[in-house]
Amino acid sequence: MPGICELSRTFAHVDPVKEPIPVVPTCHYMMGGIPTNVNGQAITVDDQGNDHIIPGLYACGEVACVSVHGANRLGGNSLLDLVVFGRASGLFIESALRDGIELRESAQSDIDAAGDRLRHLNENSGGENVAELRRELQSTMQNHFGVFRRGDFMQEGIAKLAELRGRVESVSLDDKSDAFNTARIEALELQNLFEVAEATAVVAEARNESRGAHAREDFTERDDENWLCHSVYHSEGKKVSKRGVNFTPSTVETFEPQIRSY
Amino acid sequence: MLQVSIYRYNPEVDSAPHMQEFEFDTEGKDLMVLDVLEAIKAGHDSSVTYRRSCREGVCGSDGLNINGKNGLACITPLSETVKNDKLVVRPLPGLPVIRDLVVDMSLFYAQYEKIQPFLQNNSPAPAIERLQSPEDRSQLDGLYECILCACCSTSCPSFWWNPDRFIGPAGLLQAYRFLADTRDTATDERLSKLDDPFSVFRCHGIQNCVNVCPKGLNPTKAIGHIRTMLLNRAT
Repeated sequence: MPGICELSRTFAHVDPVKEPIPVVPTCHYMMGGIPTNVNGQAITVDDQGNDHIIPGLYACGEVACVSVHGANRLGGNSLLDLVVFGRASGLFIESALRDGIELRESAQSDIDAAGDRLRHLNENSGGENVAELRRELQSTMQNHFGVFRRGDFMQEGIAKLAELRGRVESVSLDDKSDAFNTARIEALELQNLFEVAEATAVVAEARNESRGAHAREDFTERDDENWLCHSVYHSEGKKVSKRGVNFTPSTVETFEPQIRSY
Repeated sequence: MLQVSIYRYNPEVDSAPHMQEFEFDTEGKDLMVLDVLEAIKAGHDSSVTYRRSCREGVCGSDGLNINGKNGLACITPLSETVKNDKLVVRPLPGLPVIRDLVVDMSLFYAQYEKIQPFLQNNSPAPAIERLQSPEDRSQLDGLYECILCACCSTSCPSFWWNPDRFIGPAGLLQAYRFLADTRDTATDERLSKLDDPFSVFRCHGIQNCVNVCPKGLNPTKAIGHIRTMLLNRAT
């Protein structure tokens, strides 16, 4: 409580002793992420729906999805991602290194692709500015993919993002120097934010049910038959596929899904 | 209309630092200094460079010298600092400038590393946590909350004159944090390492550190405790 009182006074200029604290919902945490196993090894899913470990790629923390939160992360449980899987993946990497890793040659095409992204930013001119585009991205996501979602509104949002993509890709920098250039970092981050936003948007629109934080006015109930699963987003083709949830824990009884009621 | 003056320096093109002037309309809002910097970077000049992250005073990234006083830009409201519509923003004093408001923190971190800021206890790890009574734990209050923003050390004249030999307020606050921790058993070794004319004893009670700490901590008081421990040990 003392922390909340201080936040309210410092940032909202409201004394909670006298007046109600103004609140607005905002994006606070990314549920879902890069699929991994319990060792933190990143996983990809092929066209037949089979899992494949991506050798040498690891992910843990908020960016990863082991998954332990499902559609709704409980307060404080982000620590679980860090403490348990941070440790697990660290220990696993250490033992993998001791066993010996097989170094693979990098493909020049991959290196060129990464270099191209940076080169475009350094050479582009006449594009829009990062701050403007970021504001537009923020407001599109807040308005079309916020707390309460609806199919037609999400489709509008997806169309807006499609239009925004080209403008984000051709963003240009006024500051092209190499001395601690934060303008360039913000441009790269904008492009990354865009990818995450589009993935979020397409998958939200595809999931025709409400589940956890995904609350739809046009599909108010859970559809366990069709959607008790993870959605997987494939950015080439903007496709959504499904991946099963682990229903076979080996040491504890399964807790059956219940209707959420109060 | 706020007159904002920002310290600029790009080693690639500038032979010397200079101040750049901006006019900024606050529209009557009592913004934080960080909000003003962000608006200037977004709307006027995207090359203005500074560190920032949490925007709520917990990460310590945006320590700056604001109208002559060190503080965190994200929790310094204009009403607390602006006089006569003038806002002057400079990097933390005494450390080398990398670009605009970004300084090289290496000297600050080196002093912190020197005091071995980690628990030292070679007794076998218990099955659960190393327990501590609430009273013992309260000895850490006012010490563990440091976010290493460097506002204190860069406001300290002794640190300016000897950043490599005087540990500085932040480093010493953390040194005492471990000296006071009942779970730490390296107390004597820690005190030995601090027992020379420079590490602790360059503190002359100037108290700029206390004046500027954005978390309300008191390094001078902690240094006083270390002094007492060192003097008791010597006698």
